[in-house]
Amino acid sequence: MAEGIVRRLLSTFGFIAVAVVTAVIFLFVSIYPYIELLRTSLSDDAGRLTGANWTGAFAAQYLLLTPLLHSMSVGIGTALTATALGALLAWFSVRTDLPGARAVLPFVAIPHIIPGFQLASAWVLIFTRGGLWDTMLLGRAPVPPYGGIAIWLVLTLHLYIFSFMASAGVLSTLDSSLEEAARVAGLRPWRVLARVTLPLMVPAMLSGLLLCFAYAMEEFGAPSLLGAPTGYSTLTTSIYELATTPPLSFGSASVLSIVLGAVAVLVLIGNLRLAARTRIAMISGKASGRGKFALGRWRWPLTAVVWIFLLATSFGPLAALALTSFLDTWGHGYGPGNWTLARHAALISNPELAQAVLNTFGMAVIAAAAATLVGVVTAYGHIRLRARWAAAMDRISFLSFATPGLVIGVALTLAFGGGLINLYGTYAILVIAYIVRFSGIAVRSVSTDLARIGPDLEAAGRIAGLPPARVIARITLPIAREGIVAGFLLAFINCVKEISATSLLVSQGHETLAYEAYLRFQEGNYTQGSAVSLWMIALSLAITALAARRGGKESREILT
Amino acid sequence: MKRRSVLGLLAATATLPLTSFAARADDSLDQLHGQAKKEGAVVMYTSVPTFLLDRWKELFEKQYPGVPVTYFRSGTGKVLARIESERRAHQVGGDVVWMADPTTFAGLVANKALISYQPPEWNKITLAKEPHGFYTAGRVLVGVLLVNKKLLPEPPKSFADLTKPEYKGKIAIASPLVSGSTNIIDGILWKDPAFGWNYFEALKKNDVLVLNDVPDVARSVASGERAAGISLTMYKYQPEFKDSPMEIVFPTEGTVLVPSPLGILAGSPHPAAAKLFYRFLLSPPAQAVLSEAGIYPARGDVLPPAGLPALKDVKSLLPDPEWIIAHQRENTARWRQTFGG
Amino acid sequence: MTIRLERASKRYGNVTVVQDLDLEIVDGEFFTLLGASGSGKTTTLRLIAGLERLDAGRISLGGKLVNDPAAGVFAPPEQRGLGMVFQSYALWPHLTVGGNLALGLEERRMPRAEIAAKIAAAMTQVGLPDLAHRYPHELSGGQQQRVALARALVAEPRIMLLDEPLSNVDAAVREQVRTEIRALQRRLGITAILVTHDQVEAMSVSDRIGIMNEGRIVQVDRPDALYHRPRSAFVATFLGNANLLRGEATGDSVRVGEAAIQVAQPVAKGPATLMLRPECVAFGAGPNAFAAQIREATLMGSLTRYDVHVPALGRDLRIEEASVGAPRQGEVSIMLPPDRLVPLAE
Repeated sequence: MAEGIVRRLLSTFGFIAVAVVTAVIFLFVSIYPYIELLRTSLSDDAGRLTGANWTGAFAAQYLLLTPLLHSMSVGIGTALTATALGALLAWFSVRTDLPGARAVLPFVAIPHIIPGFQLASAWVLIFTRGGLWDTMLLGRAPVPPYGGIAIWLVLTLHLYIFSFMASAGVLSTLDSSLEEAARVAGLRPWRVLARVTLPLMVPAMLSGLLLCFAYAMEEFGAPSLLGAPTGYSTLTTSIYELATTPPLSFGSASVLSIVLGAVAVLVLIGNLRLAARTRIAMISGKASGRGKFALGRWRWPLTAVVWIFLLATSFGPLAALALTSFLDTWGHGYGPGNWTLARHAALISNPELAQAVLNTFGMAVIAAAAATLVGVVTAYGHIRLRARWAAAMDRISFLSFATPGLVIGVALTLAFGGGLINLYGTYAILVIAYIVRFSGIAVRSVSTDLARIGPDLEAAGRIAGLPPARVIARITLPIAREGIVAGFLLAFINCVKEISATSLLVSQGHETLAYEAYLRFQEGNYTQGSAVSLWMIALSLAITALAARRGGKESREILT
Repeated sequence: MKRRSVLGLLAATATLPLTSFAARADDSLDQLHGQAKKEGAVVMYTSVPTFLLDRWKELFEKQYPGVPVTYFRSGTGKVLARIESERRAHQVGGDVVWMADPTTFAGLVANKALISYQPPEWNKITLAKEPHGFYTAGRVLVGVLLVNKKLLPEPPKSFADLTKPEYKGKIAIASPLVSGSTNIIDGILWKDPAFGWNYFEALKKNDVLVLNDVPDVARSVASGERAAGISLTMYKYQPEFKDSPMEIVFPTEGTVLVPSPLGILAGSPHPAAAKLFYRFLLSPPAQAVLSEAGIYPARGDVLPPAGLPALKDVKSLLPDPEWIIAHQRENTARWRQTFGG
Repeated sequence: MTIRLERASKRYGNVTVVQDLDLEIVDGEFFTLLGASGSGKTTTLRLIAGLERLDAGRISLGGKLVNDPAAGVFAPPEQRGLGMVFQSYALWPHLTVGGNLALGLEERRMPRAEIAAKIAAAMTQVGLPDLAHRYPHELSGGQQQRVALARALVAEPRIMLLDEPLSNVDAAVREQVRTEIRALQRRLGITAILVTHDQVEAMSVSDRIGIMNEGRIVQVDRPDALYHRPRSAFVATFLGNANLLRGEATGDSVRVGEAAIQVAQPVAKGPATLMLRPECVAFGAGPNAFAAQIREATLMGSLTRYDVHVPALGRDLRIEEASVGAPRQGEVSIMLPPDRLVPLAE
């Protein structure tokens, strides 16, 4: 459908007209807000130029330095554990004779597809006192329900897929003769692992490490639910507070936003550089006739450990949310005697939620279609026309994607919250936020496909008698269809899950399903929150599965 | 109860404008209804929960056909921002405004965003009436202790009890940065020399759990995560708590009253409908909707929530909105320093 | 349809890939642009197709000017009415074979029935009448090649451009398809331009060949003339093996080393180069006979190749002779037939 819309637009108005309009609007909404953000960070309440926001933020430790320290701790901790966990599981799944190794991916993906705040809620429901763990007589919970450690562990589960994918990618293209040569040279299997395989995985693991770090720093939902109860504030929760609770302090919020945005963007740019280098240094050769690492007598114990972990971390959160959504009365356990369908029934009959479903679909479809248009225009301009404006759009869409949602939320509030273009409290401002935030996904997806289409295919169309715009419409776009559809679905799914920008820009009547769920968890209404979440996760899983199937070869990318 | 108020907009308590529209006693409900029908609609700007709004809308439209109710419901800050920007643009879109947070109306009065109106129902309200008639309490949220009787056969009886060593690690409170009603409750305690910040530091030492919002305190206490906490009466009346081991305890120092202010916007598009709806909201049937939900009505002659004493029979503490506004910045910063955010 | 290029030039940045090219290809001719990669032959073809624009010069097709930057004339490819077969075939993967053939016709708003008839005719022409419903990836390389040919022909163009069309097919299929393309072109009477780096391919199908080097055409001629009467050392060595004898012309003979080599036609005095194909060198006595030693003999099948040292010339020569019995060895006498010695332009 997205492809159809884009095709019709291009056929009707021609590529240049569509590209110019798209580029001008996209560049405006993606650049101007940051100018406002910077300006606000350097202005006092009356709009006069001042450095007080910056000096003040650095002077008051609780304002900037403590949250920064917490964010860095969570980021580094998550990056380390997620990388180790991802690499280990990737190795088990790709290079050993572990039973069921090929079926691992969906179970790695589920805790990532579940949005962070829902995973965090499930965490609380399971591990808090009186939660599922001790109600089921398993004794004292082994991990804390709230605080920095809880955030770290939740984000590790939420993000280790990045390291898993990076490592699995290397391991499955790794020429097994490299390892065989080491065996022939006299190394025992474990030594081969340590001296050959692991060093070859380092670049990929480093890339996974940076991704996990940046995304852990950017995460808002999990720390906002898990951090506050023990006073563990992070940059994201502090920005949210400064921008939403009186006395509002957009000056400080923009200082923190700039700090957070800069860290995240720099790390992701570093990762991009690293990934480009890694790809060049990548080991060519086919994964042929590979000798799988024999786990020997450890095989069955390890199988049990790996699969218990995978099943617990994917079905555990879902089960916790499901049981809570069926809970009748608090304080009487989670047994069937205390079950009710009242929460789900209330959802179905709740007009606010029906509105939220409509909003979610409407906004996600509009934003994803617009992102796809940006993706097509940018990718075509960049790859085919080698145009400078398209190169700029490519870069800016990536930077916007790297920018934390909360930072985009603050920037858009400042840019369009009043003044010349007042979109405050509108449907449009959310759609704009999603377009700004997720166009990068569509650009990447379409570009990948477009780069694979030989220019001869388009030349052949011209020879056959088609003018340029018709060639794009009848040949280029249909061939790049997989990438376009995947880009659309990816952008769509990310819109559906978005809460960080949403939480700042949402207004009455424009709530999304994810925001409704988040709001309920935030105020402590876990039963309804769980019910809303279940429906939302079901929707997310279905669309992700669809995207993974449609995306074909890129299906692995789609999961992240 | 969410708190997203824009204190910047509350141009701190200025002197009250005395040029007000005097209420005309001869506004009969029938006359108002007739005029309201011509105006064709009434619009409420509010932060009150929708389940109450839906109930009132239903009752009002049945009682006064031809005047459909629409409402803009959002967080406090967003509602105030909308009122302020519309007022500046001379395009007021709302008729009646009802907020949860009693600190929010001083700024509206100072900005001349409200009219003065004292209909007959005014006299039935027992508390928190603006002396010049610019607004009145429409309902009263009541801050109490919630305790889990199963876990604590000997529950705490006062705010002061919560700092006792026997309750270490057993207390939950909400964050005043998120919860507006908590901001009021804490505002009373901060101002009271017997409590002050020492009290909160003692709570912190007692390993208190700081949840985001008051419903979460109810969830925490009912589920046994914590054994007691500071929250509101209304949660006991919600289905998932009704039969839970959670009970209400009125603290011995006094119960905190959080009046929710209700007023009419100046320059509203449907002035007669505004008055009609305002009077309806203060009428016994509309006020009874509150009691059913476990919330205290503002009228003294409407029954309190089932099983709870009338407000006049309990020792109560009323907030000082002006003090809270004046000390907001300081208290917020102090809270962040003490509890980390 | 006649194709004419006049002083055609094309630059990419600082690199001139086609320079001052003059060329006229007559109606119904099978013309080949032959050259190494980077010689500018594909760019020339793409200029004719309209896939590239000239920087200077003019191109006209059938007397109609299609590109003249000085006059601001440029007809885009879709208006030139050409057929083209790409090296990669460029079959659209999202369309069936029939869809590939139909796309251009649909663009011309041709009635469905007519399109179907044309597709059937084109597919029959290339010998694949039953494959219209298949997708390109379901076909073998040879079949894809024929489909690409059918697509180029389906709109009945008067000019067909072939960009290395055979480089991706097996050697066995290549010769067959080559013959078929040539036959088809004759039958349809259209003008064809083939771009290739394969000299055998070029010589076996072309009416005329233009040899390209560094953006210029160095010689245009019939294949046999190019082979036997090259005008330059470049053409001589590009088309097959050649012995090049450099020396000093004295009129009716050329001095190479210590020997005076007689030539059939007079050569202008001064430095001169004679070209002699290895198969034209004979063993035995006669004019221009020299003593030689065989350094290496290689049996190549029907031919045997000898590298011989000729002391009188002070150099080695390559000789090819039909294989009969065991290869020659040791001291031999070789002869350079005067009428086979081709003087090259210096």
